[in-house]
Amino acid sequence: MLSILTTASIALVACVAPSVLPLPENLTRLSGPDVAPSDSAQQADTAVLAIRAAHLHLGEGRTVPNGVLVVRGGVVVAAGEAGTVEIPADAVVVEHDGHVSPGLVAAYSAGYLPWDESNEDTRPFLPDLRVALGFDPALPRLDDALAAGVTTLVVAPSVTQVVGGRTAAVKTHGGKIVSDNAHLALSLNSAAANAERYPTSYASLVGELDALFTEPQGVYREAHTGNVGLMGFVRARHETDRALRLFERRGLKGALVGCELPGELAPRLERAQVSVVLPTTGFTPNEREMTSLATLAAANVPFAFWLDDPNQFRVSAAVARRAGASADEAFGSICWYAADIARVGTSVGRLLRGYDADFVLWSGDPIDLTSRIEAVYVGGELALGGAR
Amino acid sequence: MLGTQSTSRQRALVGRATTFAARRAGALLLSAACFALAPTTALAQAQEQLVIEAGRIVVDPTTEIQDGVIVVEGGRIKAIGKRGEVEVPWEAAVVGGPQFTAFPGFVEAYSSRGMDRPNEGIDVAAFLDVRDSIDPINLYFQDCLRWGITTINVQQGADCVIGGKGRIVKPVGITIDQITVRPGYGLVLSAAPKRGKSRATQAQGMRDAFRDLRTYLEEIVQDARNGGDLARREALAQGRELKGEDAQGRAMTGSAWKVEGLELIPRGAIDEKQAPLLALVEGRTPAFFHCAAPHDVHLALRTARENGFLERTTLVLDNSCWKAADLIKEAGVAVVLTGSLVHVETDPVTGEETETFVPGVFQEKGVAYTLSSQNSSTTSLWYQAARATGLGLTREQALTAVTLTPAKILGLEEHVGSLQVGRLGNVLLMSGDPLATTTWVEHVIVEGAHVYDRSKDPRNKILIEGEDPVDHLSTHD
Amino acid sequence: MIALSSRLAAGATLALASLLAIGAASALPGATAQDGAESAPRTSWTVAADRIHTATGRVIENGFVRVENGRIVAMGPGDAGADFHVAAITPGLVEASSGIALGEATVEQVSETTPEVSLEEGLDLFSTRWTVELNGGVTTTLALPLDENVLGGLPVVIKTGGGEPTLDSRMVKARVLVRGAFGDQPSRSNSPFSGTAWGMYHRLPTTRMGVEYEFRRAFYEAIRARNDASYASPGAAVLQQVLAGEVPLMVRASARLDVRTALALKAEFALPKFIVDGAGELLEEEEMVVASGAAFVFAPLTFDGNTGIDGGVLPWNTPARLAERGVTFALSGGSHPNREYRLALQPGHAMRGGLSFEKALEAVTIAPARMLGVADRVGSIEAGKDADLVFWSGTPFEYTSRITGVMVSGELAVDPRAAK
Repeated sequence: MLSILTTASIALVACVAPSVLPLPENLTRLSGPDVAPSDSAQQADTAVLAIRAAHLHLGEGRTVPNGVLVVRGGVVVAAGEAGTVEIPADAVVVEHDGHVSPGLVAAYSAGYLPWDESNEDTRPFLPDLRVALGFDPALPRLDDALAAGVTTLVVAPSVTQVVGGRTAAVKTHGGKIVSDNAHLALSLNSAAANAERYPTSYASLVGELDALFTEPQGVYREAHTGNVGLMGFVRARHETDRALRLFERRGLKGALVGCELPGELAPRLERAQVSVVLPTTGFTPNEREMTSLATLAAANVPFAFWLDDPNQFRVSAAVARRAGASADEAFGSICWYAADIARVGTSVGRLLRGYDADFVLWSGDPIDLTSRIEAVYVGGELALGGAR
Repeated sequence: MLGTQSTSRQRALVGRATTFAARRAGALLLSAACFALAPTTALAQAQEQLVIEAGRIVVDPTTEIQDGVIVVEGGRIKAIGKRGEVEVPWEAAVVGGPQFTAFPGFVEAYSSRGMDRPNEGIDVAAFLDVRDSIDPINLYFQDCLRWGITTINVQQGADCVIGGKGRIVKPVGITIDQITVRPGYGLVLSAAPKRGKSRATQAQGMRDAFRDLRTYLEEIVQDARNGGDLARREALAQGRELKGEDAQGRAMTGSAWKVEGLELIPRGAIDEKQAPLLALVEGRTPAFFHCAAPHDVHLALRTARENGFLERTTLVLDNSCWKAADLIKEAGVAVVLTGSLVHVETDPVTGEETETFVPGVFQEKGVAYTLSSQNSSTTSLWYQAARATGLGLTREQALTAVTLTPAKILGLEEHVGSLQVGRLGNVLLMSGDPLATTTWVEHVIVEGAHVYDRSKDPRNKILIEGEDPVDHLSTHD
Repeated sequence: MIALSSRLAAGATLALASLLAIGAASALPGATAQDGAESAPRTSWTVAADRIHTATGRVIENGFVRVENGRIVAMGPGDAGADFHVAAITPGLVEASSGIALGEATVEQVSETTPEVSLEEGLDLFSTRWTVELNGGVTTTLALPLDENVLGGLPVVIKTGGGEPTLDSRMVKARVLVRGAFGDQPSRSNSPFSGTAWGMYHRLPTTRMGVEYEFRRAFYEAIRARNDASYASPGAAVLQQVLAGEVPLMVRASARLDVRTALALKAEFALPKFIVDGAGELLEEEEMVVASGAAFVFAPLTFDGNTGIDGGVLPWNTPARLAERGVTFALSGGSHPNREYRLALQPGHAMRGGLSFEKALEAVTIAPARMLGVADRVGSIEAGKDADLVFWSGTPFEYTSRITGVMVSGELAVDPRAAK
């Protein structure tokens, strides 16, 4: 198992590596523990952390009572029931009589890049733009996200770009960029058609995308084959419909972000094998929105919620639960399934061997809105909250 | 004017030749001005006798006469019946023919159009009178005539707390006196908030108005008891002389509340700002209470009850007020439906529309209602009646709602709304069935004067027959 | 044991046989139930009526219309086992000029002349405005882009209801004609040459003559493109089809001056198929109108005569007069916000102006269907055409009548039985 995971992650890194731009020096020396450079990794290598939790959420609905999580070098080395996991003798042990879950993951976020990064108005086609270059780990808002339990989030180009570039999955603490090429971002939102530049119409918007994905070259081929994810911005139902027709025509699969009332289109979403990232629900969505959520949950469509106001992030999951989603689907929409949609589901979003040691100590069940965060660990290091 | 007998001078003008010339003068004025209404007072009274022939006479919504004739004398129907059975004066002018259907002129139970700026800025403006703002040559009255509305209750606009005195008019004449049918008729009140007010402050304003009335009356009575004559001196200072009835005092006769001792005050001395409200509380003037939403009906009925004028109240309702139909039924008041015939509500969540046929609700509940062209895209009561028939009323119900019922609400059932001996000679000659789509109002006779002929109506020619307006500016003819 | 089981077997066989028999009975043609998915709406009916106005010139008294799987299969006198009865039936109304548009994203404004851009991607079929139209008796409509461009593109004929709200389910025909516009709207949002030039809206045309210039340039370039490949473009190819009469051109022109411009340009380029939409002041140029050979879609007839387009006025006798002169036209409600001006009431208004009933009926059914090139599917009650029907409580189009039911593609979108 370990060797397969290692091979897989090595393979993943190998795939991603050639297109990863070398991180600038200063990025690795920001506040918080260093994660990337190898010499500090050797130091981290020696420190072993073991968490004993009354409830340990591994991911995908698997919760272990009296769980043990062992972390070394910023990754999980073991996770499971107390009896089955050996705690190394030199481990620093943290006792937690509440819940421990993987760090929350946002498959899309708004407002976690410096403001100017949404300013690109004039050039609608920028397939090679990398949003990771605009990421500022020192942005204060990232601390707010961290304080809400979010450890990984996806930053994306502006919705006004027809082809905006490559999204990135980043950590909210420590500045690590998990992937700087998670998805190719496309926009079929009216915002992309209404700027004072070509294209101003849906017809041209779709026409251009159709052309780019007909005998696709370069990144478009990568997206077509699935080497790079595809993230499409939509809003109104007719935009979701438009995107689905484009996807079906060109044999594309990916995630649609921003769909209104997705449940009313659930059969088509299911058929197209598309996942959706939904706007925050707020505390009291109306009856129609609740029905839509319930239908979506019942259908075989993976869904996640986007992150804007960090205090609302968990609320969306709770509302999904209330609408009828299973506990796994509801919490997964802000954790493991969100990580899958974010295309980083093999390194974050679960507590399994080889995954990044990003986890949260909760006073109670995380889906319960009355539960508080007591500590957040990113990459095995305590990033927030009380230490023992 | 209602009930006025023609003067000797006017009688002298009677005669066929004068009739013809007068009619031609009318046509001339019609075509030349394009917006003015032709007949003068002289003309209106000059038609001493008129015979109207029609292939079908609709006496009222349930009674018809086939191949009939109507004789109008002195502005009133003298005889009506089948041709051959009615004595027809040989010297009278004749209008009509077998191709026409005669119909009573429509009655508009409430209108705030035809005025210059119908809404007054101050909240309580009961001392105002629409006499001062009605514009007899306004296009609205011309349209009324064109569509066959011959009796119109003009009231001040509803953007008020309490408005001024209204007046019932006919759409014939170029001075206010010529068009008046009944002056000083009705006060308008609004339960819907005046612009700038909330419902709470509107209700407060309403309470304040009546409270101020009460306070004022108590003050002047107290002053009189103390030996003062403040009221009389105020009246004199305002230039009002107290003569005849005005110089007499009279006890207050309100059915809900009274101020004792009002007989000490000469009626004419009561402040002109308060006098109309006193008339209202004493039940001497009708009230037209405007409601825009169902909850306004509560305020309207409560105000009317608390101040003793419920029996003289007619509610003027907007679209959604049908929801308060039970309340209205219980109160026993009549309503004027000024909103659209179908109230459309859009569900904010699903976007689906629910339609309610408003007159149907009142018909079912047994509340007396009239249709109105106040907020319609056309000043046409027969169009409203035709559409209402399609949407659920029977023919009789729809026609009653634009003739008999509004006549009754205005207290004019003895005079308008049906074609019977003694009623005013307000007759329409229509080219076909009153509710048929292709029917036109071809001729209109108001109080026995033939005042509208569609074949000579220039605006009709421009709108319907595509004539160039420029052709009507010629000076010859 | 064996005897028992054989008796059971016999019983089972009997039960099975009777089940099969029931199954067989319901599979007979013309049956009421729809096989297939349980949730699919019913699309086979037989409707009886006092009068059936087919819009082919034939009126059936006391007859029936039979519909199967969304198509009309038969009609004639008699009752023939009707599912329900109504007073009158007309074909579903065809709106040649819907005023429902998704907004500015329906038009590619980077150029004034984009005749090649199709509206297929510019529709919002989820909008409840289509349902409002459907409830008003309109079953087929031409969905248009906004008239921000001089030549805006290729509209789509769609059904207003039935099936899923998808283009696959509702499209009748795409690329039916080329849409253009004269008058104020194409130049309105453009800024005149003053101060600094920025943005793509700082360009021609800002006047009517600019609009006309763009129009003529596009057509002359299309002509030139026949021999000179440097003028070739997708737009030119479309305009060549217009020049050849393969595809009609529909332009909006309401006021007299715009109607003159439109007809003059038709003559200049000898465009064989030409439709003037939103037409208002036609009687002022009656001879030009008659001589032009163009077809006309009227702006809604309104009580005050205003078309609401560039101050154009539409006298009510215009349809009757044009009918007398043999001009092809259709009535339109334009999805007007005032319900009194919607398509179902337009024939009544036109009849007031002197139009005959039969012509008024045609003007909202087969005439627009022909103009839009979809008369093979909609516009009249004939065997083989789509089952689009409107049910009335009395004589159709009379103000005293009401639409009690609407059927589109065989589905009963508004059920006349429900309102009893």
